[in-house]
Amino acid sequence: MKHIIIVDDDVGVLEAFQHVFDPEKYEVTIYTSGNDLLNNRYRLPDLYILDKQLRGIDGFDLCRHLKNQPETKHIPVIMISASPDITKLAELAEADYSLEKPFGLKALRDAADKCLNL
Amino acid sequence: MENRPEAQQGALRQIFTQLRVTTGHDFSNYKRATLLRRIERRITVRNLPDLITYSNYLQEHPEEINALLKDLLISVTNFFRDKRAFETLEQEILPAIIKSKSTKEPVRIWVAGCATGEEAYSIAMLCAEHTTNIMDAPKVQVFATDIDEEAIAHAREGFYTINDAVDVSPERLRRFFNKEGVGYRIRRELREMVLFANHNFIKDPPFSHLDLVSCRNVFIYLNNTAQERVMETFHFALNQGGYLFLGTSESVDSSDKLYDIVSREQHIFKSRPATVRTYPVPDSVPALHIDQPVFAMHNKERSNKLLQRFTYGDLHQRLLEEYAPPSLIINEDHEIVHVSEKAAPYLQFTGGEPSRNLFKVVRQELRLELRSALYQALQQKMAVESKGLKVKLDDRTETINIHVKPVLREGDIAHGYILVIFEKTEKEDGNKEIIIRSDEAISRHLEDELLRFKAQLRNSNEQHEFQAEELKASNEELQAMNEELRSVAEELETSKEELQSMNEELRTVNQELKVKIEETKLAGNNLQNLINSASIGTIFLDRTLRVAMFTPAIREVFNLLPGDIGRPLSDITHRLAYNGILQDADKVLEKLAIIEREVSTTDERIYIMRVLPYRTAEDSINGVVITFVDITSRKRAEDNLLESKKRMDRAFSIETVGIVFFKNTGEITGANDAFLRLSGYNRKDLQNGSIRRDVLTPPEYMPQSNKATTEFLDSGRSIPYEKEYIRKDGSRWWGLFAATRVGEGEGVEFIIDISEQKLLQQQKEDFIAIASHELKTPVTSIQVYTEVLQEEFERANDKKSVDLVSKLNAQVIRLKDLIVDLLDTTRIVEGKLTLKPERVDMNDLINDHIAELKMITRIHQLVFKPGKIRPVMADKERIGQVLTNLISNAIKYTPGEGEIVITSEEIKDGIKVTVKDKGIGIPANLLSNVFDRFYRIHNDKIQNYPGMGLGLYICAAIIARHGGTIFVESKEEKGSAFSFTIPFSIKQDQL
Repeated sequence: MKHIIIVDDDVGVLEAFQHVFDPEKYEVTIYTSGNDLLNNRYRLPDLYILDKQLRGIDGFDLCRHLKNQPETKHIPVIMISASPDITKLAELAEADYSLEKPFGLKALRDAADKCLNL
Repeated sequence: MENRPEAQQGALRQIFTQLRVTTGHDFSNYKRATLLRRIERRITVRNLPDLITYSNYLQEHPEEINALLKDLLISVTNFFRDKRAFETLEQEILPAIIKSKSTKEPVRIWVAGCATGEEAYSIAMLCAEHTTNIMDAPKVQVFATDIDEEAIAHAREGFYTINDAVDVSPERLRRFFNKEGVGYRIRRELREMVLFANHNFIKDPPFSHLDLVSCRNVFIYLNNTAQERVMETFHFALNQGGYLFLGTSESVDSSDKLYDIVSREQHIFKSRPATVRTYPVPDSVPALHIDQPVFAMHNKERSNKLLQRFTYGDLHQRLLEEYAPPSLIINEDHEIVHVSEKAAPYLQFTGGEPSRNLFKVVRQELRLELRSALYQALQQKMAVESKGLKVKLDDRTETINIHVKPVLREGDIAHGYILVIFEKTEKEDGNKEIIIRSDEAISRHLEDELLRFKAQLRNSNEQHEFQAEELKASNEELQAMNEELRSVAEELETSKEELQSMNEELRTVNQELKVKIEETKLAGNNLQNLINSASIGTIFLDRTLRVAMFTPAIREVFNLLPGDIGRPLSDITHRLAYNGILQDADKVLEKLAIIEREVSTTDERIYIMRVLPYRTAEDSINGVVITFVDITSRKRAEDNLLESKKRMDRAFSIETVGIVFFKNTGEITGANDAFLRLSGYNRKDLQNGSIRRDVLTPPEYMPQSNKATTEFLDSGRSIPYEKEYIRKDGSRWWGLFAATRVGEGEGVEFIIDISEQKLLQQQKEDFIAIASHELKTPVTSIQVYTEVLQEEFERANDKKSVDLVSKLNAQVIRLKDLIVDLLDTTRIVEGKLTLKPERVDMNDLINDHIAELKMITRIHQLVFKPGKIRPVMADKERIGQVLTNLISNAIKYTPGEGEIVITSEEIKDGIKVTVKDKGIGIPANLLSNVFDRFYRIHNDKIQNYPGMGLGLYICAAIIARHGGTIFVESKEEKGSAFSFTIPFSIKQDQL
C-alpha cells in the first residue's frame, strides 16, 4: 500500500483524483490547503501531488518547504498546474515531476508509478 | 578775315618762324593760297577766330605745331598714280634709260617727295620688270625722299592695306607683295631697290648722276621762285639727257632753257645740256644746319672750277673774235644769247623796255633783209647769205654781207641756235650801186619805179611788222592767260589733293561710324530681346503723360496698340482695378520719388506697379516710366504657402500625436504641446535640454530604440514600433513611435499615445489567459472523470456506455486542444513562447508521433520514409506539437482512403521534414495565408472542417522560434506537402 497526499484547492479535481488511484493499491489522503502540511503533524506519505496554485501557501513554496525538511526531503513530489511554465517552476522548486493541466488519467498514473518506482 | 593785311602778314611770318625753329621746315617758299587754306582749317579745328589768335595759340601750344605740320605736308599718293603717265614711263622712258646703260653703270632714279612710298615702289616695280629678262641688266637704285618723317617711316615699313593696293594689278601684287593679315607687304627684293631718306630738296644738297627724277605733285605747293630753283637743282642732279617726270599740272615753263619736252601730255621732260651747269645756292639757308659750312665750301669750290673753265673758253673766244667778223648767236625765238665784241655797231637800242630780240635791236636798215634771210634759213634748213647791204654807221656807210648759219646737226649741243655773221665787204659793192645809179633815163625810170616799189614794200613791211607786233601782243596775252589757267589748274590740283586727303579721312570716319552703327545695332537687338524676354510690361510717358513707348508685355494690362503712341494715357483703357495711375505719375514727376504698389486687374491677376521718373543721360526728367511685374503666381504660391503653413501649424498642435524635432546627433530641438503634455515636461525643460532620449526611454527599450536610430540614420526613416516612455514624474506611458528625415541632419518623430489601447489589449490578453487557465482545471476534472467512467464501463462490460463515454472523451480532448491552442496563441502574441531545447533524433520523434496518430485513423496509411539525419537541438514537445498538427491536418483534409507520406532528410545546415498528402489541396490564391492567425480556408468544399485556424499559426511560430522555416506546396484536388526545416544550431537569443 502506497500512501499519496494530494493537495488542491479545487474540490472537483480532488474528488476526480481520488478515483484515479486504485484503493486496493493506494491510500490517498487529500488536503484543500497546504497550510496543513507545514507542520509535520501528519503521516508522511510515499508521494506528494501538489497543485501549484493553492489558497494559503502556494504549491511552489510548499514544495520547496518539503524539500528543505530532512523528514520529507526524500519523498517524491509531482507538481500539477494549469500554467504552461510549470515544468520550469517545478524544476526550481526541486519537484520530481510536473504535469500541465489538462492531462489524462494515464499521464497521472504513469507519473505516480514512476515516482513510486512501481 | 577783317584784320588789316599787315597784321595778317606779321602773324603768318610768325607762324613760319615758329615752324622753322621747331621743325626745321621752311614753308616761306610754299604757295601762300594753299598754306593759308591749310592754316584756316587748323583755325577752324581749334575753334579760333582768326590768324593772329592762332599765331598766339601756336606759341602757347607747341603740340599744335606738329598738327599744323602734318596738315601742311599732304601725303596723298597711290600706286601708279596717272596710269597713262606711268605707261609712257614703262614703254618709252625706262627702256631707253636701261638700254643706254652698261652692266656696271647703275640706273639711278630719284623720287623726290615720295610721301608714303607708293610712287617709288611703282617705279621700282617697273624697273624690276624691265631688268628681269635682261642678262647683265644694270643695277637699279631708287632714291626716295620726303620731308615728312612719318610718311618716310610708313614707306620704309612697306606695308599697305588692301585699299592702298587696289591700284596694283593682281599680277604685280603676286610678284612684289606678300599677303600679311589684312594687307600686303612689299617683298624684300623690291624693298632693297629703294632707299628712303628724309630730305628737303629745297634746301638739302641733291643726289647726282641721276637718270630719272620723279617729282610729282610737289611743285604745285611751291611758289615760282622755289619752282625755278628746284628745276635748276634737278637739272644739276640729272645726267645729260636725264628725264624729269612731273605731275599732271606741272611744267618746266619757267626753266625751259634747261629742259626739252619729251611728252607734253604726260609731263615728261629731258635735261638739256647747258653751258652753265650749276647748283643754285638756296636763298633760305636753314639757321641750324650742321652741314652748312661743308656744303657751302663744296659749292664754292665747284663754282670756282666752273669759272676757271669758262675763262679759257672766253679767252679762246676773244682771240678768235679779233680776227673773225663780228657775229652773234640767237636762239629759235630770235633772242640774242651771245654777241661778239665787234658786233655792237650793228645793234642799236632804242627807248622803251630793253629787249634781247634781234629784230628789235638790229639796225633798221638791216632788219628787213635779216628777217627774210632768217626766214629762208629756217625754212630751207640751210645757211643763207644776204649780200650787199648798206648800213649807216655813225658817219660812214658800210656795205656788209649777212650770213645766217643755223646749227642743223642733230644731237649737237648747239642745235637750234643760229649764228649770224656780219661780214664787211670792200668798195666793190658801193661801186656797183654807183654804177646802177649813174644809168640813163629808162634805167632812171626803172630806178624810180624800184624806189617806189621799195617804199611800197617798206610800207607793207611796216604794216606787216605792226600786225606782227599786234599778233605778238595777243600771243603774250594768250600766254598770260595760259599762265593763269595753269595756276588755276595747280590750285585745282592742290584742292583735289586736299579733297583726296579729306576723302581719306571721311572714309576712315565712315568706317568708324559703320562699326559704331554695327555696335549700336547689336546693342539695339540685345535691348529688344531683353525687353521681349523680360516680359515686364513697361510704358514710357512724356512729361504731359502721353504714351512715348511701351513693351509688348504691357498689353496684359493696357489696351495699347502701336498707333496709340502720342495719345494721353488717360485715353487708354485698362484692366486694372485701380484708378490712381495718373495721380501717381503726377506725384512722381513732382517729387521724383519712386512709387511702388501692388495692384490687381479685373481678371484677378496681381501686379507690382512701379512708377519712376524717366531720367535722360543728362539727368533731366523727361517723363515717367511705369512697369508692371506679374506676381500672380508668386502671390498665389505665397497664399498657398501661408495656407499650408497654417495647416501644418494646426497639424502640429494636434492633441493626440506628440511631435518631436531632433538632430541626428540626438539633440531634441523642438516638440509640440501634445508631446510635452504626454511626457509631463514643460517648455522650459525643452529649452534647457533636459528632455533627452535616454531620459525618455526605459532601459529595456534602449536596444530597440538604438536599432530604430540606426535605421533612421541609414534610410531616413524608422519603421513604426511600440514602446514605453518615462514621464518626468517617473510613470510610464505607451507610444507608437515613427520617425522620418525632414532635412539634412534633422528628423521628426511622431508618437501616438497608445496607453489606452495598450491597456485594453493587455486586459484582453489577460482575460484570454485567465479564461483559458481557469478552463483548464475543470477540463482536467472532466477528462479524469470520463476516463474513470470509461474504465468502469469497460470493467462492467457495458459496451454501449463505453462507446458513448469514449465519444465524450474525444470531445473533451478536442476541448482540451482548443484551450491549449488558445493559450499558445496568447503566448506567441505576448512573445512568451519559450523553448526547452535538447538533442532530438527527429526520426525517433516522428516514429513516436506516427504511432500515436495511427490510433485516430484507420483508413489512412501513414508511411514514414526516414532519411539519414543527424540529431538537432529542438524543443521535443513543441516540435511534436508541429508534427501532430501537420499529420492530423493531412488526415483531416484527405477524405476517404489515402496515403500520407512523411519524409525526413538532411539539408544544408539542418534537417527538413515533409508531410505529403493526396487530399483536397489548397487553392493557389489562398496559399499565402495558411499560416495566419485565426485563418481558416473558406471554401465550399472545406467549410465543414472543424477548427479555430490556430494550428498552422502556432506551427509557424514554433518553427520560427527554432530558426527554421515552414512552407507549403499544394495543388487543388491533388494534395498538399507541408515542410519545415530546423537548423543544426539555434541562435542563442531564440532560446
